[in-house]
Amino acid sequence: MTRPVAGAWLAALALAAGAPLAAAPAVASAAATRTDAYRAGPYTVTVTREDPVQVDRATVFAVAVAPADGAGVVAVRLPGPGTAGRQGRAETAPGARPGTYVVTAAFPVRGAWVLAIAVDGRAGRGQAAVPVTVAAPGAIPEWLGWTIGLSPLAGLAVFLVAQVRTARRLRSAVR
Amino acid sequence: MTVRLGVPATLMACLLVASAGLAWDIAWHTYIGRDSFLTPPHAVLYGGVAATGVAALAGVLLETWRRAPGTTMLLTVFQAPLGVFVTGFGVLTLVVSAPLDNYWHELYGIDVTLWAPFHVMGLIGGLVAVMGVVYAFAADLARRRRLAVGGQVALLALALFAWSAALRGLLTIFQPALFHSPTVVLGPLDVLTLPVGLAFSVALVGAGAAVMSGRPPAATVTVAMAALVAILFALAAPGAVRWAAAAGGYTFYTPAGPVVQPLDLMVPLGLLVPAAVLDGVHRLVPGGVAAGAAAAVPAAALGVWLVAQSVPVTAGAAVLGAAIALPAGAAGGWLGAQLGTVWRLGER
Repeated sequence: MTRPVAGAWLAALALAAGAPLAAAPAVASAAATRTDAYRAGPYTVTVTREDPVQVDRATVFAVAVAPADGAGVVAVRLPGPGTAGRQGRAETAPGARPGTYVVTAAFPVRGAWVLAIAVDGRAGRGQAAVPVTVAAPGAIPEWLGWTIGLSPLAGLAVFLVAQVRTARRLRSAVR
Repeated sequence: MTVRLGVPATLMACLLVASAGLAWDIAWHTYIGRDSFLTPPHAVLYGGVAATGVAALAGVLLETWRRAPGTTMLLTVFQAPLGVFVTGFGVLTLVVSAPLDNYWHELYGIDVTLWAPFHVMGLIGGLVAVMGVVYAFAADLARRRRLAVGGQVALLALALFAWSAALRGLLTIFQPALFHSPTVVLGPLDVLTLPVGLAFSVALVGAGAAVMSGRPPAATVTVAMAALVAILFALAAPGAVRWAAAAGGYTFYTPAGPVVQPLDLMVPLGLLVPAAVLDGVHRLVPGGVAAGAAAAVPAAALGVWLVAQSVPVTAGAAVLGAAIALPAGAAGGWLGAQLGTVWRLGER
């Protein structure tokens, strides 16, 4: 003889046990903004961005190219030494003013990366290598840690309530 | 030995190994610190947990294949005694807590207190796993009682021994209340925590044992079983730390190194008094509330005395702690009686 109804309570326990798997750690945001200028052949490329960049998050690089002669800009992200990542293209869009561009890139692995910005215009061609430090996921807040850590209590409570009802049923059956 | 008994006996043995690893690990933290995840005590602790998980899974698959009566169905596919599933979920909680605990240590330091989220999560998982073993033994015991089959005393002893592990687990959870965090701040008030924890724990375990067995002195016997194992672990842990430290070239925080802590022996021994009180009151007033409340009185006194041995205790905190211990004992006794009823009468 089997009793399928108990599966509901076991499922509640399973949910409580599995709940932490669904909770992702929060990401700390202690990044500062920095601006650096690089040479790219005949052009000067000024890049403003967060430092460090958070892993796996779309990050905007504000790029200004001088002279602003309508040069084409293509950006590629490259893993630096010791970083287990792969090369990938970054999205580039024209900025609000002539000679400005908005480059958006996401870096999937923490560590050292390079954003390679290639400029091709009337003045000639050049490439700037922008070093990027990508930070690991930040600290999980203490409140979230406790919420996850105590989540099995919810499943246990559901199970115990069921057991109290079972105890009543068994007692009445004996009487 | 039948499959129905072999599975919970294996689970209990594996959990005993895991709890020995836990006792060793706590001593390791105290005298050496948590230098990495793969310390010798962790190997024993998580080896025991892994073995419990494998045994629970094997038990479920075996029972599903046998399709014997007296089982509960899960996900319309698996069927096994309820206790085996419960132990499995306890182990799952433990397994989930392990990497999270490692992450927490990486964030907040190697010597995070026992009252850290994923330590507590793991201990809750351990308690659930132990409860499952009690369910499995008790279901077979209830069946044998109904059929008037022999072996009941031995089976009751196994069920009580498994349930005594819950008391050891609860004592581990409340261990920081002895030294590191003796009080909890409630607004403007300080409350001594240990009396509340001891009262709830001994009442829960004692009432569960008393109602499951239906005869005194089940609560006292269960607490004595817990005390025996806890004292063995407390005596062995310092030596195990010394041995592993010598083999691995570790140094100790304190010049004296690991020593047996007298309070580790006194806590489980002291709980024999409230357990005996619980047995006596339960005989006069069946049900867990009165017995739990009565046991809370000596348990609270013990808690206040134990904390006073290591840190200064204000009278207000002690009185509040003792006052809250009474309803905590009653609540623990009530809950223990409910579980004990299911264990006494349920055959799944």
